[in-house]
Amino acid sequence: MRPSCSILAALLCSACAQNAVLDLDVELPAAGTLAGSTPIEAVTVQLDSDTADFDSDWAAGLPRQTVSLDATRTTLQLSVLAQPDHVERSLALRVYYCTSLAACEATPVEAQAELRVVMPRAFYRGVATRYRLVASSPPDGTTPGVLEVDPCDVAGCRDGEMASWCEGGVHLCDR
Amino acid sequence: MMATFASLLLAALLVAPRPAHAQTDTLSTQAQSSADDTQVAEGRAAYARGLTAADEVRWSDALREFERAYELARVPSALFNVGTTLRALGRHVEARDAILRLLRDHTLNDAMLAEAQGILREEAARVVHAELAGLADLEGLEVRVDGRRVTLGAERPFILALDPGAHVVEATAPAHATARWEGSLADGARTRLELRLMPLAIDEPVPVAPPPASSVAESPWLWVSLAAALVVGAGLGVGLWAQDDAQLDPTPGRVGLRL
Repeated sequence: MRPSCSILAALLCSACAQNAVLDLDVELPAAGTLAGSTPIEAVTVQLDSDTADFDSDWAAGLPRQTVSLDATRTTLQLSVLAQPDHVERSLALRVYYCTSLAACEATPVEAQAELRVVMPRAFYRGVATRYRLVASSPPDGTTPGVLEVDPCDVAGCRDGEMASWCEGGVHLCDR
Repeated sequence: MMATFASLLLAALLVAPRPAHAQTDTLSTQAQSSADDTQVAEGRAAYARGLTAADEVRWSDALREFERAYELARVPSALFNVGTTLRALGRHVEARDAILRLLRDHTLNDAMLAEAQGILREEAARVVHAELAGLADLEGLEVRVDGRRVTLGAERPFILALDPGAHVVEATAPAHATARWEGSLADGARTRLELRLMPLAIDEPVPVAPPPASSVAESPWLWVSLAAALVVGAGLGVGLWAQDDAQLDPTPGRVGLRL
């Protein structure tokens, strides 16, 4: 009897993915766009889980992606994979705007400007969600504020376009 | 080439102890006043030898002398010339890093700052970025470029900054066949190099089982138990395999990042 239960449990679990994916589109500025009075040539996007500590440099090992900017606006298409123990944590992002690719590849990044973003809920177990981050205008404030993304703006669990991805205040992926 | 010499000339003017430049080259002054006089004199002599070598297009000698001059005197003009000499040698990654260090560690006058920023842009545009695709985090993983071992950081995927031109990239790990890529990379290329490490088949000695006692082998319970164990094992194996398979992967066609 016990062996049968084990087999059954293993087979039932096979249908349940425990991790999650966020397909993140980051709208980037064109090369030469000014951050204050300085033209920007490259951007680095860095991610961290379950932190909102933007006052210090993030560890070099955290996932990040650096791109050279094109002559026209482009969209960086990321697919962020959250391991099972990260799914219910918040996601923090930093978008660094640099004067050169080398400056953006440096550790820590040598940025002229920075966009700080917190997504309190970006992942839902076993599903792929979507979000479009508009980062095409570098902030010019000396102390950047933190943009908090409303969880109801994170798309997922239903096709098409919707004004809100919540019903009755509950995200469609939580229903 | 003319730009290089112009840079060298500019740098030479800055390092020379002339009153007209004393205010604009404050770091140089500080270095000279705080360092040992003999050391500064040696640095200046190395710098002069570097300029002579550069005039005679002996770039390797020039590089050695400018590096020595910077080591001794810590003046920005010596580091500037290290960068321009590396550029002349076609070592664009190192040239970029030297100029980046110059901008990071020194306060420059306007002329040198503008020139250094221009060189940095040019060199950064020439550096090749090669993503090493297919490499897992294997214990003992080593990557060599043209025979030299490179240090892999914690970031994934692995990205190498290389000079344009012909290269051989090899990845090795214990119990895996060496993965090798060989080819030529264009200026400023952004490329993916496939380096897939395949596990080697290990010939393990086959254990020889002692002959079973006839009384046990003949017992039907032995065979029933073995059959049950096989069924359970197979079921669990299928279940676990299917569970792994059910996990989500980053969406194809996008840049995958893992938290």
